Amino acid sequence: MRQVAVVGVGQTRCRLRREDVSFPGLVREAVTAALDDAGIRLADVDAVVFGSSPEYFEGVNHPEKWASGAFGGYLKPHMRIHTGGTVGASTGIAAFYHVASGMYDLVLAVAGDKLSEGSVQAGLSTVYDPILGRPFACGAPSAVALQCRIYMERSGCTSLHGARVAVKNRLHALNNPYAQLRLPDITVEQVLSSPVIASPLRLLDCCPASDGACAMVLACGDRARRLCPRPAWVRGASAVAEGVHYARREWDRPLALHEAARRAYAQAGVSDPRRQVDVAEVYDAFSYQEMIWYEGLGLAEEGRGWRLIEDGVTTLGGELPVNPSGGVLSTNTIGATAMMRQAEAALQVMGRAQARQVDGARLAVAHGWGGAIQFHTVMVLSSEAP
Amino acid sequence: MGGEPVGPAVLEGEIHLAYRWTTGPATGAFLTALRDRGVILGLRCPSCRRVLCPPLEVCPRCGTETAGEVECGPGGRVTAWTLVEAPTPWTPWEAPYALISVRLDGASTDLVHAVTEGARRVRTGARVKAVFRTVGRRVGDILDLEGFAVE
Ligand SMILES: [Zn+2]
Repeated sequence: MRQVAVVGVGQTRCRLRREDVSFPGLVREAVTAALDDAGIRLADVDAVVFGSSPEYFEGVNHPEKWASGAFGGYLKPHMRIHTGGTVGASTGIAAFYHVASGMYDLVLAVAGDKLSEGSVQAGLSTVYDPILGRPFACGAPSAVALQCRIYMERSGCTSLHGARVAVKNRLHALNNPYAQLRLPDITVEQVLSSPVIASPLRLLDCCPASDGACAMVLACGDRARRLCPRPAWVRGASAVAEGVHYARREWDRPLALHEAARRAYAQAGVSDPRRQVDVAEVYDAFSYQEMIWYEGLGLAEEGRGWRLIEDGVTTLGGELPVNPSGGVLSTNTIGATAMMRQAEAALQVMGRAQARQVDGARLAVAHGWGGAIQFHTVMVLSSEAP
Repeated sequence: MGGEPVGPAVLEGEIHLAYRWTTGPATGAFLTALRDRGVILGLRCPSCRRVLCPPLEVCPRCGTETAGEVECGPGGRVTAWTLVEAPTPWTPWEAPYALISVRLDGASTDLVHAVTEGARRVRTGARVKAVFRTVGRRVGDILDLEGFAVE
């Protein structure tokens, strides 16, 4: 496997509605930003990988057909990825495969969504199994609420811990110019008194819906060294699925996450993630999930994820900051969200995360989840080449 | 959503969802010009100088942002055609109508639309002319350009 690094990232500013641009125009913004960041032109790119969320969310079927001219797919090797909420990360991982395989030297990964154009929760409900699932479909929160309930009952995590995650990430978002939600005065009491969506999830435990896009430029070893003084080396990456109705679904201990983490860490030579990882960007669509992901990623002992919140370990300035960007709780385009985790992790190990920079970050992990919480992606990025 | 069970092997259902798609600056200007002025706009690519009609924000060939509106048509020449005898339930025209690819005068790319007057006389190379919705009934969608008439 060849050396691969992220050498440029681009994000749009995310908003509830971006009525100033069409969908192709939006992805174009992220592409232009990533190319500028990498110091290259579209003509330098060997191949393009594009991702967006399920078509029902935006009502544009086959959006790569519509947008390929705008994101630079014209007369280049080009493919679309879709894996629900993980799609942004799967797109980044597919671009990594493109370069690692030796097929291409410089690959553009781009993902985006304009969730304002449809009804997200109605669209999400079409994701449910058409034969056995639709009557129970009520967007994402009710399904995730089951997961959070199981986690709380098994681990001793309380609503206070969920609220503290919700506050932590919203305060982190104030350091990120690309984040959507700006809640400088948010308090734990506010979270705990916000309306219940599906118990135990309250409004402020939930992510917003966003219009936005993200792009990354990935390069092989020698190109990366020439283009970038401090590239973000992709040391390991894995995308793993489990089924929807498998009898052995353990919602709060997802096998797919454990397997994805095991594979990515093995590639990266990470044996003790809690000690080795400096910063993590996880897919915290709902506050409690962040603590479940700590455990799945080996950043906390099983059933003890909430302890990291209690001890302030994962706050910016703590020992192992998680979601210094503000995370998904502050911005969720779905299509680009999991790529934003990778892009933010890359910026951290490049030392370019500005006000949200974790001091001395050298090893970062980026996580995504999608489908019926059944797809998980893990990417390990480092300031050091393999 | 949901459905009426019609038997143990099959469930019928429908999905109804509402959307609102942002047209963006290029397509938005195109639709606005159709509605307000009965004019078909193209956009020029500053790199290859081609006039894209319908206009796109980015020239796919060059990767360059387009700039500079150009009025195209209302006349043009048919570059490909088919006479549709079996339409879909949502087709806005009575069959038979001709689906055409048309190179409008002043444009470098083709527009896909329909011939609604003289469909049976359509041939490759035939001259056609735009027919617009009556003033006062235009809504800002692609059917403000109702179709084309064979000259
Ligand atoms: Zn051009």
